[in-house]
Amino acid sequence: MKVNVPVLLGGLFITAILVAMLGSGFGHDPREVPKALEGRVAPTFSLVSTDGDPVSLADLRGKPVIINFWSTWCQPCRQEHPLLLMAPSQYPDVVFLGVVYADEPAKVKAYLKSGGQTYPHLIDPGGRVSIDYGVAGVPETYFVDVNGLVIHKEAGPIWPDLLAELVPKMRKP
Amino acid sequence: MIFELCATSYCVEAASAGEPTASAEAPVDLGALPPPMFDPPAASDVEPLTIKIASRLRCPVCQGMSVSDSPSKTAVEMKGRVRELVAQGYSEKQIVDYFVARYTDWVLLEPTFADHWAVWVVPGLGLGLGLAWVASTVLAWRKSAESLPSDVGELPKDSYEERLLRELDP
Repeated sequence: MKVNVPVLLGGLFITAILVAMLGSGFGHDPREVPKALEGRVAPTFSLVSTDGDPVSLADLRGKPVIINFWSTWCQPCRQEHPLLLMAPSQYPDVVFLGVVYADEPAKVKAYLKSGGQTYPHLIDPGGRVSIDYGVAGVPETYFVDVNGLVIHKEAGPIWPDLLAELVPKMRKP
Repeated sequence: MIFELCATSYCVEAASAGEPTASAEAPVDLGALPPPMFDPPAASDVEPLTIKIASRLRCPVCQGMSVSDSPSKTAVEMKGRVRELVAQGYSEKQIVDYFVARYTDWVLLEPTFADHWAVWVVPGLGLGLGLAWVASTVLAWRKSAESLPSDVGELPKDSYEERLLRELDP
């Protein structure tokens, strides 16, 4: 059978492009929201904690701050809760803040009462702060250095080694 | 009620919990926002503009739905934020830029030409190349057909045809 070389080469070329596009597409999670805030100033906010205390991020400038967005309905958040309970005693110079995402304050208070609480958890009316941080799911944790810059965003539960790696970087002026 | 959709390590909320949990007067510092471009619009114009802008934004917790269409709480809250900004006089571009600054252009349902030109160009290019290939093939067929002897009379006649023609031609 005679081979039509131009058609064969054209078909191979188009197939190669399609395979490359598919390979590129399968290589990343289309639902994963890019990390827009890394390297930028953390959006400031003033919220009220579940205990009724006001907390303003602007007042914390000069301190390393870890902001953890979470919900009671999120199982991975519950899994990382013990680590976050212990972390403030391990890193006393770091300010830990929880921001409640798409949840009901009563459920949050009940969960914290039974699960424990070692730092403030802030109610986010209207999800304004979550939107300001580009939160698309929970848990998400933002590591803010002493200059007020977001040096890292972690989508998913954090782990001890991540804290050990990032906290020294957050302390650098 | 909220139903979570969790991957192994990450959850997105999947159903509406109703309206946002608080009004627009939440005490949040919006230092990064520039002043509104316009005066606040008439109350009757706010909702149509809100829907128009929210329709351009991708719901971060949904599968290919716009913020305007999704019933998820996150989308409802984002739409509420759009509504607030519209009511304050922010332009469509300012509001879209506000969300792009926080979610990158991932949040746009329609990709921008500057950053995703291939999405716009490749389909047209592919269609053009395909049409050109079809046209050249058809032309080649026609050319080869024209090169064949067109007059049957020029072909050598067999004995039957010769006899037939002789009888028909007085």
